Amino acid sequence: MSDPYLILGVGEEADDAAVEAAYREGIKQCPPERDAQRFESLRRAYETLRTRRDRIGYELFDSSPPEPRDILDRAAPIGDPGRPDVDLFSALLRGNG
Amino acid sequence: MSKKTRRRAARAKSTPTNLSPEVIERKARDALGGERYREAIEGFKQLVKLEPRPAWRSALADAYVGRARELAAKDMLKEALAIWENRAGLGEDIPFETDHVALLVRMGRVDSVLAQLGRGTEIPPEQADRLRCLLAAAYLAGDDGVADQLPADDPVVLHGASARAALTAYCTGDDEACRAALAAIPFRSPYRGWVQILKALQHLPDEPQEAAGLLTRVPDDSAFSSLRQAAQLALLPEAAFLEAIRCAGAKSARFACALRGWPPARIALWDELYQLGTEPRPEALLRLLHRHRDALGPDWARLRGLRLLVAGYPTSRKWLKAAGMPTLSAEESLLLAARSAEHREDPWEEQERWEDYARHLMRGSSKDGDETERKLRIALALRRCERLGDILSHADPSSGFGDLGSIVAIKLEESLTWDPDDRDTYLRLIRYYRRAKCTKDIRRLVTRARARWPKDMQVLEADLDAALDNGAFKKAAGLAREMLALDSINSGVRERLVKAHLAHARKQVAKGRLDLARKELAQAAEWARSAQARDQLDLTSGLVALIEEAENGAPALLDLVQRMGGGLTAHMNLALSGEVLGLSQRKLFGRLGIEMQGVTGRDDLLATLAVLRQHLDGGGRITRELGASLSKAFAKSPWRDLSKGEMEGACDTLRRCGLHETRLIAARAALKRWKGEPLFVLHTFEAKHPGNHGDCSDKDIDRLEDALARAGKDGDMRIAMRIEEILAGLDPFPLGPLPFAPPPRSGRGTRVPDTESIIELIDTLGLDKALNAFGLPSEIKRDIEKMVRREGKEAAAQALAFFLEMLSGIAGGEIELPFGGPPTGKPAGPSRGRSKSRSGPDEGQDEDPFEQLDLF
Repeated sequence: MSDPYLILGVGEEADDAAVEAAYREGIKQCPPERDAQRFESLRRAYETLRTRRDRIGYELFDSSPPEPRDILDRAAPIGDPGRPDVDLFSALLRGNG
Repeated sequence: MSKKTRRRAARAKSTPTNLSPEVIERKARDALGGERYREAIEGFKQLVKLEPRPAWRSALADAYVGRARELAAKDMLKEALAIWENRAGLGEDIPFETDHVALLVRMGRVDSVLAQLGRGTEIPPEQADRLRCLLAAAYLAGDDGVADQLPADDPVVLHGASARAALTAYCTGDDEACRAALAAIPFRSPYRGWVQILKALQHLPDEPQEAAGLLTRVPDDSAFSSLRQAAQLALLPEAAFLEAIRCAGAKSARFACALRGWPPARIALWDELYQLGTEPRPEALLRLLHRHRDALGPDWARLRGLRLLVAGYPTSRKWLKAAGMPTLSAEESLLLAARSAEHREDPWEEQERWEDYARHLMRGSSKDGDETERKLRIALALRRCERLGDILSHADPSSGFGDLGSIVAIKLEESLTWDPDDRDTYLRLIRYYRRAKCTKDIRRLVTRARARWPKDMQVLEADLDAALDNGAFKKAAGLAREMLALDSINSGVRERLVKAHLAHARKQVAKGRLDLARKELAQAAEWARSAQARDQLDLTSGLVALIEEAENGAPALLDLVQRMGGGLTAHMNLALSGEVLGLSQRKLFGRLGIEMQGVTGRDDLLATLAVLRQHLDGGGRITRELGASLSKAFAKSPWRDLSKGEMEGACDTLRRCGLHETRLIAARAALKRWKGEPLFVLHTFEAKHPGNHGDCSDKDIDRLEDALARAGKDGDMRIAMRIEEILAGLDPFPLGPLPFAPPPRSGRGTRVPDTESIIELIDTLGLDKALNAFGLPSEIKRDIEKMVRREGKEAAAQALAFFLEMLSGIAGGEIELPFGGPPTGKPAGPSRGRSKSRSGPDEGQDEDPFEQLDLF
């Protein structure tokens, strides 16, 4: 994922405080010792969007194409982990993978 | 005749019937080994018809297994089952295969499995367990017939109710009930794989590692393995997961996606993205963005779509039409043009395009949107070129108006009117103006920055730098103290404070205010921590005492020199400290009754060189008198004790000090150890002919040319270019052919470079440096740069070659050339065409017509 808004989980209308709060919440849930890669991406996203100037700069100057994962996360975000239904279990138990 | 019958008939025809059994067996075994099961079946069938040998029947059974699995993998279940049945028909001695039973279960033919199991004692216990496991999976999948036909005390029936209860509880989210139901299933149960999987699924969201561990306990040949694989899919990291679901079956993928919280819309979108391939074409991605713009958000989709247009701009504008998107607005067009310019990496074009964008926004008004945002956009666009290329830190402030650096500086200044709160812009401009020595501009910007960020360390540091530049040491000391109040452990500031007090003390000595000088030194002593700073202060204090009272001051100073080791380092430190106070080395040492000490050893030599380097880095100079003393002191230096890297550093320091004789000795000593090393050949040459290379001998040039060839061979382009410059400077006819025979040859002999050489030079040095290298006047440089931007490098190189040729013709005629000769492109191989007779450049030649590349 490369879109810093999606990494931090904030909308484009987020202000400085909202960006900082999302970053702090993110690193609280995912400290570097748990997932260094995720922590690094959170840090980079925060640096990109920290101030209004940064956010406008990102919009003006970033010319990287959207990644498939960004498109997926934006159009159909992942929900809470779910549980497959009985039918799906039955199909797999019958070997119909 | 049907197609199938025709194919069979054709196969029968193609199988020779008159082969011996040995040959048929060999061919059939080859086919079996090569996984050509159909061919193997044909062969072994023939053999079994001839004679039902156990080995042939067994091989035929193996071929049936391979073929049945092959068909099952293609989802040709009926055909696969027919093959399995053929295999079973070979006789009861043919061992039972779990895959056959699994297929029966999959096709809902549990009766046959139960019949197999009913044979009881004929099946080894291990295989009976696997059969039960398959029946357990079938029972869990909802096949109630299993329980009806098995005895009530069979484990499949006995534990089946708990297993089903666990499944229902898990699917409804009742973890307690699920755990309770699983606990009722004993370890030896045919449902043990199921127990592990359900436990893993319960752990999966919060404890994925635990879940992974539980899943590994389910073996590959278990009836639950497909369920295990689907669960394992859900545990993969995101990137691997996206890749893996491409290959997994539809139900497995859905199962894993459900576990990860993927909604159906996401799965469908993923399928669409998957169809675009791993590196989707920008226009295809653009169409996808437009198709899903409602889900993505129209603004988000539009902005990301614009990024895709950069790839093929300006042609890419028509992609919008193809995708059904609205055409570009004026602002979007300008933005795209600017982003596109960035891809071409031409700073001039970047500057112009971003300025176009900023001007467009300037023409707009707050009615169009948020005024603050508009101003920020303008400011950011004006700053973009500098942020992108760090132009100001590389710009030469002396180039004057029209230089990219000065234009960028103007734009940065302008940006501050739109957004005055960007500290970084102030700092960049201050640094640039410091290099340009624009005191008023520095003061103006520092004052504005200090008003905005009074406690900011970087702004304070900029103010401190400006004060030191202006010799305002008292102010500098005050600023450093202010900085230390904010950050008391900042050793850099502490050091600068000491230096500021020291500089102020020297200023007071120069004014004859020794009392004030002592006061400054006492203040400096409070902050000095490093041994070097303390030595410096002690030396200065000693010198102040000496000036004030020679009788008492001299012994103290001599003691100090001894305490500092008494070697060349201590003596040179003393001499340098004296010189900044206006005491010449000869005079100072005379008053103390000492002489410059020689080098006492390797450490003393390295320490002396380090002190000299530091002195030069701080803007100090080595006087002729001190230089002469140092030359004597270095006379018996242990050069042989230094490593190659240390020798390189030593030669460079001696070059900077202008100690050519010592440098020559050092470089020659180095050449004895590292024969023909280009760097030391260069140092030897330069030290032997300082300032004027005209008096060099043929032998010197030969050595230099050999070094050039070796540097080129070693890939040391830095040294090669430096040597090339010297050799080019030795040519008395830099622009045109020699006025006497022989005519110019290719390579260095041809002084007017052709188009290719110019392009090569531009590629090697970059456009700006290459044009500097030709010594072109700034207006011509600017024209060439414009031409490169508009018509490309090649056209500009052609024009430049023509221009140089024309000037070369003029040079051979009547008028004096406006600038020096062009250099050659990349270093050429050694050329023996030069001789002493061609040496002897005039004064202008020694000045080096093109930009000197700093090697050191």
